[in-house]
Amino acid sequence: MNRRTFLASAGIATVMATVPSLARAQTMKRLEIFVPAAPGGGWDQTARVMDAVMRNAKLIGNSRITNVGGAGGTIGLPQFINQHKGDGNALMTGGMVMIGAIISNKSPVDLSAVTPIARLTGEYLTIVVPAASPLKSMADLVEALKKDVGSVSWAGGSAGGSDHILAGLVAKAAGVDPIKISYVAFAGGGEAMAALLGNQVTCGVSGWGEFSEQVAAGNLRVLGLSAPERVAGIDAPTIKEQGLDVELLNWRAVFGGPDLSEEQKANLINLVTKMDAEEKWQSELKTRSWTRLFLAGDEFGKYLEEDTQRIAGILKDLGLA
Amino acid sequence: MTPSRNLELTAVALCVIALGVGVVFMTTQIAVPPTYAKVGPTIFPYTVGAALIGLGCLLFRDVFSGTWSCEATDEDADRPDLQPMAWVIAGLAINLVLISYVGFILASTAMFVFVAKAFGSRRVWLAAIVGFLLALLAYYGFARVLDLRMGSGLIEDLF
Amino acid sequence: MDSFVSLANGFAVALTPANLMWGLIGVTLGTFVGVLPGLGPALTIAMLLPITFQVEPTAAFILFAGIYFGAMFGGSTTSILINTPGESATIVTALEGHKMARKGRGGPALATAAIGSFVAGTLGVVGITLLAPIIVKFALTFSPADYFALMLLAFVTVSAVLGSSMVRGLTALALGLFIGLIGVDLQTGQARFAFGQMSLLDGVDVVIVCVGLFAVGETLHLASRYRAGNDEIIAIKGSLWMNRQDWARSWKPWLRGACIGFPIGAMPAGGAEIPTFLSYFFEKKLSKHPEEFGHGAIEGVAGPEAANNASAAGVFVPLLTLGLPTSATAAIMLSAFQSYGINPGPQLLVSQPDLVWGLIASLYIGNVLLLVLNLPLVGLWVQVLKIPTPYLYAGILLFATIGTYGISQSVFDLALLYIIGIIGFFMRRYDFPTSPVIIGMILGPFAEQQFRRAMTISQGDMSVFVTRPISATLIAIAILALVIPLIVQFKRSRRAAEPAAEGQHSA
Repeated sequence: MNRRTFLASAGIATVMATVPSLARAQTMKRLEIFVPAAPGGGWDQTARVMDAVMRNAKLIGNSRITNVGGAGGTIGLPQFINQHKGDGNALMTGGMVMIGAIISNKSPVDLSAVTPIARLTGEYLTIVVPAASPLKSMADLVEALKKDVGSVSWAGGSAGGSDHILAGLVAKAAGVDPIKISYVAFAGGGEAMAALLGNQVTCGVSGWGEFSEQVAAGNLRVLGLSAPERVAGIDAPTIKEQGLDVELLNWRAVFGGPDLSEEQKANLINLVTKMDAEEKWQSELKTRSWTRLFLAGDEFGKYLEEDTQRIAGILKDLGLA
Repeated sequence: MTPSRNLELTAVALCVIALGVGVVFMTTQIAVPPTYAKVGPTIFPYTVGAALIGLGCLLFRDVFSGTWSCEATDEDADRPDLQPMAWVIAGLAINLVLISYVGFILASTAMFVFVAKAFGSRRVWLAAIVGFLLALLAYYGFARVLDLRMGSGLIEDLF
Repeated sequence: MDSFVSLANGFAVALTPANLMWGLIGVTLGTFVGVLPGLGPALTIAMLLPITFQVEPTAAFILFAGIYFGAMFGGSTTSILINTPGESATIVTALEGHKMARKGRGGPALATAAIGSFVAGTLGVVGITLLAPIIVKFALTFSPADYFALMLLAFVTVSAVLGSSMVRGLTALALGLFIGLIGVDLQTGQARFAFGQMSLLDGVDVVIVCVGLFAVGETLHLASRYRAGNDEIIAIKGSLWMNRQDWARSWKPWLRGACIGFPIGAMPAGGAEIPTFLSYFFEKKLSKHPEEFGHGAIEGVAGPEAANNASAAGVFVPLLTLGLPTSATAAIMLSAFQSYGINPGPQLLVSQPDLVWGLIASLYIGNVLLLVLNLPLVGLWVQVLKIPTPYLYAGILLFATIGTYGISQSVFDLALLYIIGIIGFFMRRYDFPTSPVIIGMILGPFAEQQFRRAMTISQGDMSVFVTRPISATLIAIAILALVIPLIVQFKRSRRAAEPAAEGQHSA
């Protein structure tokens, strides 16, 4: 066993050396970041990058990340609500996907129970077609939809997720019944992409980052971007400028526990605002190609409310709620 | 074949049929969104439920034709040894009950002791030490190398 | 050959003492996480991603490749020695491997797994070097209808693991299909069989069922026969190494396994489990010793292990040629690329040849390191079987708990694990085979989703399955695989029914 144990401990030592050492607390002594998803995914990465940046900048002292994954965040949410009532030292990561999951899973609690702190990042979605497709613009797609809704097949993520929601919004704006669209759900991004590249489906919906390289290589063509206006660095027309009143943002945010005092809430907003200003955070966003869409406090709260209503509406139209 | 063992097999066949009926019944409760009615979310469940019912009936046939030979019908095999089994099940149960209160390390140490006891370990203290060290090592490895915490608990919170 | 020059360059980058050190750490860490059920290479690499800030790309990729292959080897080690598959792709290995280990042939089982993985991994890397563009083109032509046909073929091969009774084998399969249905339906978002439990919405994890049926069920069963004491494990009997016969029976399965695993692994929805089932099926059909299957046939370890590793290499084909991650581990590797500011995609091979070839060379080195490290350790691993029975089984249950609770921290999952373990006990008592449950659970949802995708795209037209050449061919093969054994059996029984003519020989 000796050699094995030795090697294992060598491995542990090397990895430990990469973890920044604990520093004296400044803005907040202790912070717990709760991730309602399994380790490794987007919300988890957000938590871990936040943790690293805040520790590095000595914004926090002790910290701990807890993962409770499953069902689009609806398993973790009730636990966070129970365990961190009035706790000013806890944050939960989450995102737009959670709204849909709460509605379609008929979760007993929703995001109105927690305290919105800030929206951090987000990604706009794109509608693409294979390079060989006859469809050149959103207008062509709308025409195809009007001619025969069922013949247009959409590849995207799971039913009720952000991709499906965008497909539904487009159908509705085009004047066809969203419930009639031929939406083909794929489990992973790779599978949906393969279906597109292999010309098995009419069009595909996903985040811009997922498609950008294939678009650059000329394998896929963008029909539209779900942003309110053109985005620097993304060479694609918006859906909106092509006459369909559709926009959708897949955002990621942090929330505080229920029943926070004004002071606790202000402290958390202050902490996250400071973190957002850190150079290390900005550079992390760049290497991970996350788009910074910082929106804090009550403004975010208002945004959340509007988005929730909109998503609930379209899910109903899609026959999912 | 003794009647009591025949009874056991009959119960198994009934369980399979009951599961099939349950699957079919629960499938009727699944909401089908209007568009998807062609190949909706219920077709496969109905198929599986029907298959279970059919297979349960075939199992019945096997019970009465005497072609189902297994440990339970083997005249030479001893009856299941209930005492060690009870120790193992008790260990599992204790782990389940304790894990959210005292944490993974202590709860799993308790389970370790019970299971070791089931398989004839006489020195309880030694089993306790071995189990504790194993659990501690696993927890520490997870927490340090991967920064993953296996919940909180009495000992876990010391790290 | 351009590729070979580039590959040589890749080796030049990868073969420094420091990088070899990273490889060693990776292989060791990988073996460690592979041994723990539930903790796979994808998660481990995800958690180690921050290391990309500290070290240069090649070092990181060598570390990751080491973890990847190490985890797979660790998974087969536990499958063979303690009947607890660490990964779903090593379930088939447990079938024959554990039987071998119980008979004192754990050494040869581990050796054939390690060498088979090495051979297949090597062939896979050669395949990436030479065939990647062709294979990927073919893989992209697979539509959902074709995948469904492939699933039908896979279902036919399930007969290889159905055990002594067709009815009980199929019942186990149907139970697996049912468990596979639990959770939110991907195509419609409707919850099925979740009993109002949020924890069931994501479905039941294969690892939980696997560890429950195999490890917990087996432990309970052994406890029930504790006093009877006739199930003793023999740690080592005969040579620790593979003998001449083992080699003779292993090399063909290695090659066949590699040929099955690599192309399926390269397909965007291929996965690692299906090739292992297919390989097991073919080895059982082709073996000169079919009667040994189920009692520790070495072919049943050699083939699936090779298929498993070759499919892991195959995953890199769409990754490196198209930037398509088709497995969880590949997806994480992609985000490692991103941490270096490299956007993975179809241009990767052109824009970053050093990195890509460095990665391919790392895969190769990871394979070699694993073999070099683990072959001498086979003797050590087998000692696991000498651990006193009380500690061995208590330890197995502890590991099962870690694998389940460690990641989800869900008491619900833990309870599910133990309940499935109790079901596993009853299945043993009434002689239901357990592996069809797992196979049904993996193949069922896959087949259902592909079938419904095909139906959505064709708007309900069933003819897609016979009008597409790939799917028509696969369905034809599936039908032949079903019908030919029946015909052979029929002929045999006819021959047996003519005792007057041949009766004298048959005794």
